Amino acid sequence: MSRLGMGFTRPHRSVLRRRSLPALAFASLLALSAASAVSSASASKGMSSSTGSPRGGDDLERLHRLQKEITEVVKRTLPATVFIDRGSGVVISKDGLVLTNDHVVQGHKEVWLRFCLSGIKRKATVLGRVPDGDIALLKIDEKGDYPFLELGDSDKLVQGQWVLALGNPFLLGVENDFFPWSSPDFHPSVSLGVVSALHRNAPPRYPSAIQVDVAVNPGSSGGPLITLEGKVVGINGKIETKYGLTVNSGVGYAVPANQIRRFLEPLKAADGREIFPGQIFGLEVDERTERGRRGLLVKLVVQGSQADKAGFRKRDRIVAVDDQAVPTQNRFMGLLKTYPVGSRVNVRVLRDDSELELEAVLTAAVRKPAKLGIRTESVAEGDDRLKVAQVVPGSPAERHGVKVGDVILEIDGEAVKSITDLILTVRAKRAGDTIVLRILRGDRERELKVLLTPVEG
Amino acid sequence: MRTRFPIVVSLFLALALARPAGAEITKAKTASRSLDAVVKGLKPRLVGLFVKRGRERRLAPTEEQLRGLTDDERKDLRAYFRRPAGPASGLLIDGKGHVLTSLYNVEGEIRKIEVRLADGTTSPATVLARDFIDDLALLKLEKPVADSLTLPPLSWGESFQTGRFVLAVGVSGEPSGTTATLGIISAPGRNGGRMFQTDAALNYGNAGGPIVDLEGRVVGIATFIGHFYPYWGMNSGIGFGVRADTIRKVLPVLLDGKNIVNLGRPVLGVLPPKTTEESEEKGARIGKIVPDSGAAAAGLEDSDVILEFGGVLVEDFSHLRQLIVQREPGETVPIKVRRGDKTLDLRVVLGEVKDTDS
Repeated sequence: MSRLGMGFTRPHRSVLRRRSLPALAFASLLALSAASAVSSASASKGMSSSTGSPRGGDDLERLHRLQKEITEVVKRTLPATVFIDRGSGVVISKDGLVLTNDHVVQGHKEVWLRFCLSGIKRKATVLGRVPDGDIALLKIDEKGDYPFLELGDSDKLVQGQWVLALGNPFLLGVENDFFPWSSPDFHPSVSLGVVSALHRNAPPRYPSAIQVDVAVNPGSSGGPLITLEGKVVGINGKIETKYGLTVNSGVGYAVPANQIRRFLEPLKAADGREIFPGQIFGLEVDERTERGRRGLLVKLVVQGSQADKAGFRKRDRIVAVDDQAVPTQNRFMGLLKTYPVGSRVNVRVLRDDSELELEAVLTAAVRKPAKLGIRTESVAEGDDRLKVAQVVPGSPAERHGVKVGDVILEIDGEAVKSITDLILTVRAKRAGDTIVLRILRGDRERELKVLLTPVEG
Repeated sequence: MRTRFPIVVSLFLALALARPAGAEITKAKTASRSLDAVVKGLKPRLVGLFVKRGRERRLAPTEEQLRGLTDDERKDLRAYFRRPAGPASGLLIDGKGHVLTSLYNVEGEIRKIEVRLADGTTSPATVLARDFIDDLALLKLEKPVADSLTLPPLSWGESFQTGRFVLAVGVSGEPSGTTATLGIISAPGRNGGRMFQTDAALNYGNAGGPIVDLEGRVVGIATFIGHFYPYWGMNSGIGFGVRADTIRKVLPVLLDGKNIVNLGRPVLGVLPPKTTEESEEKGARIGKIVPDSGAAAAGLEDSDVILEFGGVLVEDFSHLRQLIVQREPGETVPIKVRRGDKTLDLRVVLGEVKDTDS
């Protein structure tokens, strides 16, 4: 039968013969359990109890009003959305500043953009990248008066609030596999959902993400998350997936606008280079929180360090950074990662019986070479996968639960196919980096987070 | 069996506190209808399809995908690949027993189709015609539709604006059970303008059923689910519905028992170059001219660059395709072409797509 006659090629693609997917970051979970993936306070548009979401059977009038708001904001915001390679982006200034994910830009110095609807193409230069925050800032080369959207205040978002995602999932707006015989319409995909949770720390690159149930899929990356007012409150870029099936499961993450805003000036001046988040150097904070006692316990302050100069003392209890509460170490570390190197932050601590405000300057992480602490060998004759043959005592690998016999499948989502892969990957890391190892133990796969320490000697 | 969202039914009292007179009472009543009422209005036309199949290609997860999973997880993943048991959905469009559904539901080797109507009665059905372009199938019930089944008027929607709410309505496993999933129109004109995209949850079960707007008008029939893998139970927020205006165009052909295999789509007759790289050069560089096409008749040559099409500056080949599809077959379009260092003004008559590749 002719190809057109068999026109409807339903996605019966052989699973093995998968084309390289459009841009999106994944965190693969074997079992999407409520506890691990979704905070207990998350909201989803399927459940009808959060603020603002319609209950079936409710006043159709309310839905009509909402519909009017949605169609109008879509009309206003569509022209400022762009397609970038295998992902998306959004114009945020009249003179052509464009935001997208770092993984959409993929290390290129220049990219082509295509404006939605009109199809007009423009070249853009990468002004700067934040690889640790999955953001890139571009500037359209050709001078012009471009349609743009404003950044909103992501800290003012409320759980259950309506948000829309604009992007190019499965590249449906351009030439794609679903309708290979039809011409592109340059129309992005618009999906509706709610804010499920705020400040989710989804490593490795989403320290303070907005969790949404809006449908985002490969190709949506870099596109804007907007409110009904048309403000950009986030850049969509990552989803939780199950069984390695790289499609939306109802849990998506966006880099929040407030984090992006802090990086804008450094990015504009970065000349194509990377901007890193800073840290309060010389400060070690206890992971555990004590019931009945507020604040994170400062375990150690290195003498002469930035933390020392800022005035931190051992046994201080940290409660807030720039007026944002930091109830857990996870939240504290995540929040700090939303500030670029050089930022000054106010940290509120409890000392004895009083509250103090300390000002700390965030510095670059000391980028010493890192060590993992394992020796590997091939799994078997003909099976090139790497098996842990020895775990160095006292090493990060040992501390984080790597065991002899574990097969190393992936590091940070990248497959480890040879000893060279392993060596090069670890060599590219620095002390203080956390890597996510995907290992096979027996017949179970699991993920281990390992904080790398400096190489001795 | 997976659950779909049942809509939460709540009552909304029609009348406001003050009692308005005459015509205002009627207006108040209709404005206060609930989503529940929208679904109820559609129910008499909803049918369940029970399809007995012959040999069907068994799909299964690969070894790579199964590796490292527990037994329960493997069972779960295998289930994704199997067509679920239970009925698919269809829409009864008239009292003569014509049922629209997605071609997907009646694809492949079919032994028998049993249709269950809203009044609980069943009837065997045969496929009358197939629309391969839109993934639509028209069935004919063998038994006449009972007079007792009162069908409310069927109104087709006319607005497919991005952002409008839509409700995908399907049959559930229980007799006379329905399911409704809510979403918006994500894009109005995929597949050459014939389908809209929606994030309303479409899955096996409600594919083939009607998608309605808040006014209860049928804006489309749910067709396939946008996904890289043929998994049955996993919508990813991307689904498609054949637009009501497309349905109205193809219905007379299908009712006549004729399949739809070709599109009356406009074609220029140019193929892109083998390798296309992004370049600063504006315009669509032609690779090869298709012989006997409108482009050939107009005097276009290989390697010409189309700068303007119908007065619009052409960005690149992709943009040219988007501009072509906005026209009709047989239309004459002025084009500006660069050949070497010459600029030519030509007029081309668009042909009609007869076979593969636009």
